[in-house]
Amino acid sequence: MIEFSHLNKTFGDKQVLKDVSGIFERGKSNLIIGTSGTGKSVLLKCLVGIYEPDTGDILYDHRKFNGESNDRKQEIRRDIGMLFQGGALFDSKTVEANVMFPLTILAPQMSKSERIDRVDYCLKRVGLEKAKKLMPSEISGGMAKRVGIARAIVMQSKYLFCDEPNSGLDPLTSHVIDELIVDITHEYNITTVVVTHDMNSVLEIGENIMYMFEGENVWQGTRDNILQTTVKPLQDFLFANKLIRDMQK
Amino acid sequence: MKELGKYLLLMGKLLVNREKFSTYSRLIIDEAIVIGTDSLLIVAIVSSFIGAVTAVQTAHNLYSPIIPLETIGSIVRDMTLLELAPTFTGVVLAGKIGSNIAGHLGSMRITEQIDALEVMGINSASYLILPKIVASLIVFPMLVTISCFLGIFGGFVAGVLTHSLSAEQYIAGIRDNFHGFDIFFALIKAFVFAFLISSISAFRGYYTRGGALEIGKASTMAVTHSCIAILIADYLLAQLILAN
Repeated sequence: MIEFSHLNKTFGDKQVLKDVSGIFERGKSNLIIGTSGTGKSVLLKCLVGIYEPDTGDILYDHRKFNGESNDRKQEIRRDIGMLFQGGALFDSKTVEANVMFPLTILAPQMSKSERIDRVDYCLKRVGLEKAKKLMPSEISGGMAKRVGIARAIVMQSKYLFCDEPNSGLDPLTSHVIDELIVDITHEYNITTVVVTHDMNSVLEIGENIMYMFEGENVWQGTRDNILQTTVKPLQDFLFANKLIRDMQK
Repeated sequence: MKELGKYLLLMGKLLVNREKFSTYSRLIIDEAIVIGTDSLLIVAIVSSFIGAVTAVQTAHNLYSPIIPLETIGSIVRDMTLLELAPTFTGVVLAGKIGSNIAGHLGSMRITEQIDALEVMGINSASYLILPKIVASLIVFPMLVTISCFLGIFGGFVAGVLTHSLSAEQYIAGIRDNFHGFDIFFALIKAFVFAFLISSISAFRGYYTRGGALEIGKASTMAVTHSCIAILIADYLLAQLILAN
């Protein structure tokens, strides 16, 4: 479980996060949604420690994260896996080496054969066992996202963060990625946080949804009650999608 | 001043929360191979021709019956060891290695690869930059040594081929009044320039923000700032070490 309270973050004179609080539960796919520029990615980056919030608290299973020493932070970070928007694969390494990378650096106690077995398992889990010798430049965007997921779970992370996992993907591949994320969340009982503005993802995998508007958390609920919202900015966001307009009719 | 402070903080970050030494050893070897092999040819060409030009121009200026021809060899040796080999190699490597380091780190930054390392709990600055600096500190003195040898050899070939002086006169010149400290001084310069080039270029690349255009700008700034730093350090070292 990830709890955060009263997070504020300012860049120059622009306040991007305004007193944002919330809870992301374990074993659920938690979604942060909102229009572009509302602070979703900044919130995500504050949660994983890429940005330090100006004020507020972040707790990982009651362990304080922000404002702690580097050693303490790194201890928690080693429980975190993250899928970046572009995959963020190391372009000088093969798919296999990319997935093995966290094990090589962070799990030196594992033998080489154990590492290879673990990497093979993760690549098989995302359906890429045949692509392990390819370079990142030789695989598609969807495959790169799946490699990113394999790398994020290779350390048996307790927390999985995904920054716009469907951006730049066709609807079918997006659906595959969404299913993979939700399956992994349930299978390993981890806390998953997904930043997205893809409405299909919201309706398919949104077990706990936070809607952000102009840097604030203005609504939190599930995919089952999101369409009944009375929050005006969220209504505008939802009904900008033709599919949802049609569903309402 | 703000940039200088940021640079110093980055250098400090290299030394805290590092991974195990074994993690770095392979990276250092890889970086050293890249820096060494990629730069050897250009360093060899530049050094040989600089030595040759120095010999020909010195011969042209010193052609006088009252100055022994051996002096040409001595001047080529001193200029090569004290100034041309370390400084020219530094400037050439600032262009070649500096832009490479800045471009590589800049590209890693904008494609979120550096963020990925941080999220994994790896000190990205230390993991990415420290091996480049250490590899530079190992390889640059080797390249400067090769440059010194080729510079003096280039002077020999040019001097003899243009009949400015005989081979025996050139060899007698480079042996005459030789100070071993000059080699040591060239190596001190190589160490200092290696650190400046690798750290300044890494700093420029590591803090790249934006897109492809900014990577280009970071590379250009890395080369420009490294060259300026080399020239300032060159003067300061000469003043501090040779002036006394």
